[in-house]
Amino acid sequence: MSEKIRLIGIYSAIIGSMYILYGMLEIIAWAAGELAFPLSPSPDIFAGFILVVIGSILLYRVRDLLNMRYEGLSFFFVGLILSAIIGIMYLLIMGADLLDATIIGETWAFDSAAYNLPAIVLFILLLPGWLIIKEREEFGE
Amino acid sequence: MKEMTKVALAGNPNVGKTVIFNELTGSKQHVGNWPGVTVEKKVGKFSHKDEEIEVLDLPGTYSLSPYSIDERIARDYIIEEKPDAVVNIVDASNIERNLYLTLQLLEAGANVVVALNMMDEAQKKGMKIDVKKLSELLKTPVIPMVGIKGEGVKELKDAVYEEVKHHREHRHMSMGYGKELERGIISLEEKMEHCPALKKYRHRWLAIKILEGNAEAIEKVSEAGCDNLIKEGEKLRKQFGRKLHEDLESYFADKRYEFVDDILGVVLIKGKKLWSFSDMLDKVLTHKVFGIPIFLAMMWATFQFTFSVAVPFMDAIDLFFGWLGGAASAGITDPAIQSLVADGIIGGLGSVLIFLPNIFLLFFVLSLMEDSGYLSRAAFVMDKAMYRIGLQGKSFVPMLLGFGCNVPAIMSTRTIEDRKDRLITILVNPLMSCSARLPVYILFAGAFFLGAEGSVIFSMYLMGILLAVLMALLLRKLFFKGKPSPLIMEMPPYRIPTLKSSAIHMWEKGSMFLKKAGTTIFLGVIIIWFLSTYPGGPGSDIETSYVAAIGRWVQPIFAPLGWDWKAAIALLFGFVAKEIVVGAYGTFYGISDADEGSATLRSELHGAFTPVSAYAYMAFVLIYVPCLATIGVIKSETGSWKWTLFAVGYMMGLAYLVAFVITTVGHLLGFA
Repeated sequence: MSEKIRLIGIYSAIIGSMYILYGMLEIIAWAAGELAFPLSPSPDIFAGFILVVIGSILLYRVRDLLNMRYEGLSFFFVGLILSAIIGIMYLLIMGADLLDATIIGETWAFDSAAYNLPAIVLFILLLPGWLIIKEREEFGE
Repeated sequence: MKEMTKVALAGNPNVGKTVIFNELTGSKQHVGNWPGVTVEKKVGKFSHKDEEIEVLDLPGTYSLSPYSIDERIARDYIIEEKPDAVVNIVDASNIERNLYLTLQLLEAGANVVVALNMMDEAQKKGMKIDVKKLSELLKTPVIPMVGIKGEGVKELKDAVYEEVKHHREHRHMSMGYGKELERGIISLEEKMEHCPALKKYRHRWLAIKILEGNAEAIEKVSEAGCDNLIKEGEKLRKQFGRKLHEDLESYFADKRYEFVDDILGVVLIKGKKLWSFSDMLDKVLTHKVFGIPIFLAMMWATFQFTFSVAVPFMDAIDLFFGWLGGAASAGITDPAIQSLVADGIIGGLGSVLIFLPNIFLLFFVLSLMEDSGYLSRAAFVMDKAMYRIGLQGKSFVPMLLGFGCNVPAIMSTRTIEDRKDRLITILVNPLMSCSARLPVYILFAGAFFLGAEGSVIFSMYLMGILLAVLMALLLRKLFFKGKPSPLIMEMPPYRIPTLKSSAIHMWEKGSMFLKKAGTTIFLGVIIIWFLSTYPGGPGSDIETSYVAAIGRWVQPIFAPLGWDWKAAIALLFGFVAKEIVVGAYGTFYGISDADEGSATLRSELHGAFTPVSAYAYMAFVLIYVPCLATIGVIKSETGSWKWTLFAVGYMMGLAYLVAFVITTVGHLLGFA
């Protein structure tokens, strides 16, 4: 498990940095009105703030994880949970829009800004982290 | 005749005190009440060796600085009655929190025997406690126990017997608070030597309490006629407070926790299973830096979800009411009845019921957060922030309840003992945005802030919290001077919420909205329909109606905010229930005539508002007079018309001021 913790640390650092990057880009996009960047960051200051928060939590105790200390896992798990809440929320919004289009008889098209594509992609990239929860008996109740 | 030896059982709530009491006393117990209060007093007896011992089960307490009746009883008994020994029952699996009381008991000079209960639970958590070392550090006997299995009871009786036979006050530990503060404590102790009436108290304990500013300790000193001590204590408290940049009560508490940490660093052998999942979550969710951003993130996600996921259900209801309105228009020939049913009932009520999915989804998410145990952490995190700026500690729990409905939220302030704290909480609670305001936000955010509806709605809730905090601060400074009482709360364990229980909670709370729609709102929209249809009758111009006349009379007040008479009259009716604001617009614009339903209502609003005036209107709805039911409960809970009228008055004034600032700043920034 110890070596795995170090790997989680590296993984957490990479995804955490991406969260912060996209969070900042969403805040900039909100201020600038629009921003051309891969994954089309959503111009939404609050959404950007939330991504920055998730990224900061993932990065906060990376050093502990790299030093194979269990304390760092707390921050990784909460980052994981928040990422899932936000990612699933956007997927549900997408599903609701699809249903709405069916009800009112309109055609539905994917809108990367409305569904905050970076939040969905980063949530998917973080999904393998949930496998760690399966081994929680090693560090939890 | 020799007086019977008295032993008190003290400990935090839920540490197995009653189990140990029963193990010690068997069936020989008597249950009564503490004098003057309805708190249960349990007394029992047991004999051990040559000693007959009376055991008293004290109410659970977290500290000896009492914040509730239970805690005051426990503290007074230990300090005033001075039992021969105090058995401090400590939950070994929660040793850090429990040892805080142990330190206070020792500081007060009690003859303490620590019963380290629930050792099995601690072992399950992978904790290993060096009991011998703990006993050495605390300089008091520590008996490991599993009370529920009767393990350690004989050893506890032995230890109690030894303690009462050989009073060992002299060997009790004293923890240090730093050189300078210790000098202050000693100087107060020396002065106490000249106050014989204070002899029965441990001087060091009393000196610390005086420095903490503990009102009851100061009263004891005053009763003893030692006012010079109070003056000296006040001087030292101010002097150290300035130096330490925090109040001394918090400083002493922090130092005790530091001391607990130091002890645990030596006696607690951390196993690899020490970290539970709950501990891990708490470490981050109640973190001093991340706690509030996480709370804000959760609230934002709640409103984003509530608005966006409800859209297909809203459209389905909208289509239904559009069809129903059309059918009513086609099927009813009498113009007056047709107008009443189609424009009044279906148009008015339908425009409110369309928001049913939002309200149910909001309650569903709040139930998920409550059932998972997160809401208690949110209250804890917000409390810490509020307490730091001098606000009352327990108020955030009722304030969070205010997101659902202000009426039960205000009633829940009964748990706050201090009248000043309670009044502040009651007076600011209506600023927490209840679910009745949600339809107004959704209508206006959908009409004017396309693509950012969730964030705009979230900003309303945030504004409510900020205004509540600011108003509480202002009320504290102006009318309710004094120190707020801190919050001590038991954190429920985290649980994965079940869909069933969250759905039940959602229905319990959401069905209130349905009931209201069938009663108050129904009546409200019929009155509005009548006033907007007559005297001209169905089909006449609304501008010639009673409602227009009343509206034009009120409208000049709102002219600086850019609102027409319809906005003014909707606010007037919103006084009864905030949902009626939407119902009024539904009736004014007769949406049942249009198949597009709320889409038409939104486009009609564009003729009456700009984004800036719409946002100001939303803010006004958030802040101005709460509904009639809330005013009623403010009156019954404060028992005062003065405070009720004050609440109504300040909220009207604040609503106008905030709306005016939004309009002015918005225009200055070049927004329409």
